[in-house]
Amino acid sequence: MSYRNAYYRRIDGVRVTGVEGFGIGFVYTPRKPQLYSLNVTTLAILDLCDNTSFEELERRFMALAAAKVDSEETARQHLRSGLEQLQAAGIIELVTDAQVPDVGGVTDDNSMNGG
Amino acid sequence: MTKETDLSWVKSAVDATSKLPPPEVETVRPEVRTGTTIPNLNADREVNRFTTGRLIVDWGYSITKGQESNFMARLATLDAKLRSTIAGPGLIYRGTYAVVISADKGCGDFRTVWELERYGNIEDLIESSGPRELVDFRQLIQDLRDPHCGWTQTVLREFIGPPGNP
Repeated sequence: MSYRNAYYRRIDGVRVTGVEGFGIGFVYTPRKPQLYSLNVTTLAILDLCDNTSFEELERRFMALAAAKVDSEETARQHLRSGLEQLQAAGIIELVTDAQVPDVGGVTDDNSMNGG
Repeated sequence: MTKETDLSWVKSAVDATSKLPPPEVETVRPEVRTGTTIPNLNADREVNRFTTGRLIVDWGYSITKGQESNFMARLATLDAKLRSTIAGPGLIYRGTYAVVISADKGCGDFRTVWELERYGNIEDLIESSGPRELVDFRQLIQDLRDPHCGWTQTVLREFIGPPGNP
């Protein structure tokens, strides 16, 4: 199987409260009741996760952060690390709008029915 | 606090940052503060025969690393105003102190000391409509306090006053 289109988005019900003066935010995940604190980098990544593809996320994060880190590679590392941490905490999820077989036209249903 | 889920300010916060820190998602563990003790409020206790009734409130906190000079500069302007404005009755500003030596690891690097006439004056310390200088001082601490260090408040009741005091 391969993903045709994959998007990052905030999980339904996740609540975010920002503390603007301190550049931090708190996130509550009701599905797995837990409170998290996020620093400004992670908040910036979370803010971009609005049914956004990785390519689009990368483009927008680089535009936002490239001038604030040592190199583009550091910015990419920040993005990957942030996405991993947000996913692990159950704050964002990766969703696909279609999952298609690698061999086109053959589905499990067809196989079970003898093709 | 900003409106829930409103992260529109984050871009400005990133712009204001000289160097973006690595992303960090930290689990917040609830802290149950059952350590508060109030040993001196029982009027039947022998100790209360000696107390004068004057109260001292001690705030303990730390300033974010790198912001100490900023704190000192802003406090230098504010301190004299606090001493002249918050000068009683009821509530007196007794100054802000840097901790030089302390065996208490939880009270922070700075102390601010207030003198109160009665317990009700504690509310004057947090009253949002209080004197401008007091509001500015609370804002100063809020702006520069190290959020990762503890905040303490100790209320002391004077045991034996100066000679000549009733």
